[in-house]
Amino acid sequence: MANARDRSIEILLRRRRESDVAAQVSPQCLDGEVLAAWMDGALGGNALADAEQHVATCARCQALLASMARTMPEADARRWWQVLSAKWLVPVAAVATALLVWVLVRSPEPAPKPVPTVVALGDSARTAAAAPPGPTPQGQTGQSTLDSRSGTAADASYPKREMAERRDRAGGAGGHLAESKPVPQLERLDALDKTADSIRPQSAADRESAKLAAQPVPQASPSAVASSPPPPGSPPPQRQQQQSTAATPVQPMTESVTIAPEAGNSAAGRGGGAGGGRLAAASALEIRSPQSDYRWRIVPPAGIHRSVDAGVTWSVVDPIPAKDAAGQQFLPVVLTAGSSPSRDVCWIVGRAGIVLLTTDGATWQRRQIPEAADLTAVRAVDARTATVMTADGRQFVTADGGVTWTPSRKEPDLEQD
Amino acid sequence: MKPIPQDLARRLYREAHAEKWPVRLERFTEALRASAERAAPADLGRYLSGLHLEDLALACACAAGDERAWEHFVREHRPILYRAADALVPGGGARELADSLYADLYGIRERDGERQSLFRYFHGRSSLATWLRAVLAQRHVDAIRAGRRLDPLPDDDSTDVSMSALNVTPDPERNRYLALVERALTIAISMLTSKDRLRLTCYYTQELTLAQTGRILREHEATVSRQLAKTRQTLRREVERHLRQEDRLDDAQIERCFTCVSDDPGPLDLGGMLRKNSAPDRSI
Repeated sequence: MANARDRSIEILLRRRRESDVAAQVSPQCLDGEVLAAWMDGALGGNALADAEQHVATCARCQALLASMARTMPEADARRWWQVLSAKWLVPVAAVATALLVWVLVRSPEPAPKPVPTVVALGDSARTAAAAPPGPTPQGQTGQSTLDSRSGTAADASYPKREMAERRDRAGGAGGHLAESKPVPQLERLDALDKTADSIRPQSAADRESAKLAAQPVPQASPSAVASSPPPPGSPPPQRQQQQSTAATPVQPMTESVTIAPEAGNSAAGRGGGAGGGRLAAASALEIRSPQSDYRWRIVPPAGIHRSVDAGVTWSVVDPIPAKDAAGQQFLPVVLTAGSSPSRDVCWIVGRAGIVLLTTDGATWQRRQIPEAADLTAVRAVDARTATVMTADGRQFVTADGGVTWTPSRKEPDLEQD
Repeated sequence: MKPIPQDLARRLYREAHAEKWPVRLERFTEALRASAERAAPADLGRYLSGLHLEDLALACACAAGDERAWEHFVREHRPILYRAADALVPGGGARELADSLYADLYGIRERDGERQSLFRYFHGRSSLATWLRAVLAQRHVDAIRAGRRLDPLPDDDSTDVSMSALNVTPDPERNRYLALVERALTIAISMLTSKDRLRLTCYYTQELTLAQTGRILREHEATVSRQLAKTRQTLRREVERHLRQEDRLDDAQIERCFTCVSDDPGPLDLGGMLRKNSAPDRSI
């Protein structure tokens, strides 16, 4: 019954008669300026209340207001916050945005443990620099590399978030790479991590962080794959390694990022000069030491800068040796990746097997792996121990500061690339 | 009115990009002062900073007769004016209505050797586009008002609902019921707040859409719809209460009243009802 009577009231309201717009204009009537201010929301407080009070009783102003409302374009008829039916979303969104910005711009705090970071600049970066972003695998890979250069901070306290962000970046323009299938580049990194694992102990927490940083993680470690299956009840291979080398305290590795070049993008296919030219167009590759204030930057093709104030200012590091001990001129170098396990120690690798090492943060020692293969990634444990990876996926390990290098086992899953 | 500090005026002058027309700082400061004088804000700096400064500078330049500014204004705002005029006069004549503004905007008339441009009434509280629409709407309504005054009065000026209904219905009680409902409704409406009455006016009397009504009342159209429904319920309850308590009708008679309304309420001067009894703001 109430509904029927409500309808009756509505019928009454709809049976309106035309307003008496011919009524006299009073001093309280709205003028164009006040009306415009009202419509733009600039009328507030008493002025708005007075205007509403007057219009409620003035036929002329009602007609004026109605005419004005009809002239307003529909798209502009409401402000954006009025479009939201849930106005509480506005402050909630603001808070969420502020949190997000805080998280993104917050410089990584010093990690409780030294965390070397590996960031590789492969040929894919050049591909991305030259090609527009797109859904193609190459574009995605290149985008990933470039993004990893811009972000790159290995914040040990937020491994999952970092990994999620990297996956987002790895998605690039297509935005669906990381979630849909395993990422070969990350597998390579994982393999590199595991090779490094084989030469130094690693805590459970470190292993967990490394897994998060390098997902997808193979089910078994390389050492486990290569050797015979352990007997039931025996500790896992890494635990065995830890037991065997427990006497040597070594800095743990928790995070790494590396994007290796696509198969076929070897040094033979790309000359250093041409590659360097394209690299010059790309932005610098930043390497952070565990003490986040101390950073390195590779400025393509072969410039190295250092910052001791978290990247606020940069200084050019002592130039790379141009001649060997015998006075022989080195070929021009193109640097591709680096890893800094501590504030003054940094390993940087490049094309044609070049390895640069500084242990004092000022001067460089030039090393060379046994082959002139292009190096695309490096993971350093300390000033003596490091693992490098070639463009075709092979790895070399040194335990004497790069003087001698030993080929590491080739990881089975790397062959899939 | 306190004078506007020079540094504030200069800052606003820069923000307005007033130098590009160019507008003299003194003239722009005078426009700011006039705007503040009209609005009488509590916080002068905040008020002035919230103005549409670029539009204000453009209006100053146009009022001063700057050719570049005028060309810019015509180029940018003429389409807006035409669209607004089309919305007001859908049947034609829109362009004439819009064009009629230009002479006054340009300021053909002079007083004391100074051009009297309509732009001097623009104070930057709204955008220039909104102000132009408002001026256009004002002209449109005033033209209608002038036309109405010249129209002959209708032969039958009867606006009484019961009398109107009397001519079309054989039920002798019907006229009484309709009159009672009308009176009860008038009283119920008079007890609404100004905002509720304005909402009813916009939607029922002026036949604006929910979105347009919401634009005026700064409400979402869903809110307008909800508030209208709420107001209708309020009115119905108040009408029922009035019929029962004041007019001593029983339930059957009240039901008969609403049935009569549903059948044919006759002409109802809702606009008059809404404007009558401008009660102080209170809700029922």
